[in-house]
Amino acid sequence: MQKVIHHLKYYLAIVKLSYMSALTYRASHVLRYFRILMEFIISIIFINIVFSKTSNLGTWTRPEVFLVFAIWTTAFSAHFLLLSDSLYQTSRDIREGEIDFLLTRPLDSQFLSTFRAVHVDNIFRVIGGIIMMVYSLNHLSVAIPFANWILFSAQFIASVVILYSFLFFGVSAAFATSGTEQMHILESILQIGKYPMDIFNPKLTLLMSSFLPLIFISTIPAKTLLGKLDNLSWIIFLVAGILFFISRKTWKFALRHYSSASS
Amino acid sequence: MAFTRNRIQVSLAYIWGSLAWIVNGSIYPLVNMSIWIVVGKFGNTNMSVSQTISYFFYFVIFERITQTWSLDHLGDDIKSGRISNSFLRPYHHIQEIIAVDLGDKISRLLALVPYVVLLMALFKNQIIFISPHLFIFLIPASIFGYVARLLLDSTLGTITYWTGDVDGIRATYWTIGGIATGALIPFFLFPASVKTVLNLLPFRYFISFPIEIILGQLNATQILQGFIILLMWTITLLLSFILADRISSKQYAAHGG
Repeated sequence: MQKVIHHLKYYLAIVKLSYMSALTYRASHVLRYFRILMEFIISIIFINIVFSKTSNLGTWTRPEVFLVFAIWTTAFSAHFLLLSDSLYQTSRDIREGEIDFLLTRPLDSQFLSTFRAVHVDNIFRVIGGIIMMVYSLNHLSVAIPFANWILFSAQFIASVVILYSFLFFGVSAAFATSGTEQMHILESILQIGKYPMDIFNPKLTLLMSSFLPLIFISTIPAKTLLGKLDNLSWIIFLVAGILFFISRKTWKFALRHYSSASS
Repeated sequence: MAFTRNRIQVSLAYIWGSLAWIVNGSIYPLVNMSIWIVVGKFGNTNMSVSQTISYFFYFVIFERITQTWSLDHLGDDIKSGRISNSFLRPYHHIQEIIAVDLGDKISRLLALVPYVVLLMALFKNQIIFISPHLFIFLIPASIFGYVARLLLDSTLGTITYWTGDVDGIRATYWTIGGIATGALIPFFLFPASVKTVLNLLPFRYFISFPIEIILGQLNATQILQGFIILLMWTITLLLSFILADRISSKQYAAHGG
């Protein structure tokens, strides 16, 4: 328990420090809020233009696509709210040989590599995502049973874990690639998750649900709210657990084979 | 030339980085391509599958041709204080930025070859090939598109002299550019009112304009009109950069002792 409190105190210090450092460059800080607003406006324009050309995408209607998009945005933003671009920072440090400073600290190495900075402005992305979710649910006018809300909440947490674990593979890979490019590739792949996965070609959908965990990030939680439960609604927890376990094992494996550049 | 040569050597040493740059840059357009194909399948976009595939295929190529890193370089140099070194040199720092840019571009465009080969193999019957006579338009469109983009990026980079940090500017610029360049929605598919506005902004001419020429979406008058707007933007942005650089650099105070 003491260990948990110790880690939590460290994290709170990081949050405070990140906020203070963000305020150092006030103009940039304000522009970040403007960017968030622009992102939402662009997303709404995009979905509206798409649905000005068609009434539905496969079996998905406009508010349903909005819902998937909103869940993806909220999950992605929650991930970045909690740990910002810490994973990128760790990858850069691995390349530049500065990871040693982190490894010598008396806390869990994966925890330290994961929580290094927080962008507080991401809270507005999370709020924006939730507003979009409420908007789509209002337009869908579906009665969601309480049990589905509980399941959705658990799936949402699982989807954030999946996002994190998937990106953390990129950090471990930095020991081999000595770069951050794999992080950008993984993040670009995750962007596909903002669309309902089954609108694509069936082969692509199979790929995204079996080899890549994309279908679990927003499509499966959205289906829970829409009352379309299937086996994947439960498999998501297994996927989150396995991915987290493998990402930790990969990190430990990479550390065991790491030799500092400076010594 | 020395800077460019040096940069080519550095980029070739990190060939994985160049390949990853292409892979990463291709994912987003390919996803958007899939989305618009699906939209076309269920509705009516007035763009054939072949045109949609070709649009996003060429988008990656022209995006890479006109891409510039001047905003990052200038912003980071000002923030870190490295720009002080440039002030002591007998040439303007934009020359160094262009040289570095070209070095990166030459080596990284080589990494485009596998992308072109792969996509052409996958969509061999769908991609609309460039008619040789179109090169008369595509070469100046690419050159001026690059110059205008470089000048806009560099002008925005000079704001760092005032703000001390480039992150906020860069993030906002990329977000707006993401839609205004046609990366998310092909210019052809925007509603008429939005099209009129985008037509007057410089973003369309960075990437979308040459692709629209290839796809035969523009008639001779529209091509001429496009070149006139592009040229006007290039001149305006050149003057803006000169002015912004002159005023902003006076604001600069070097970091460190």
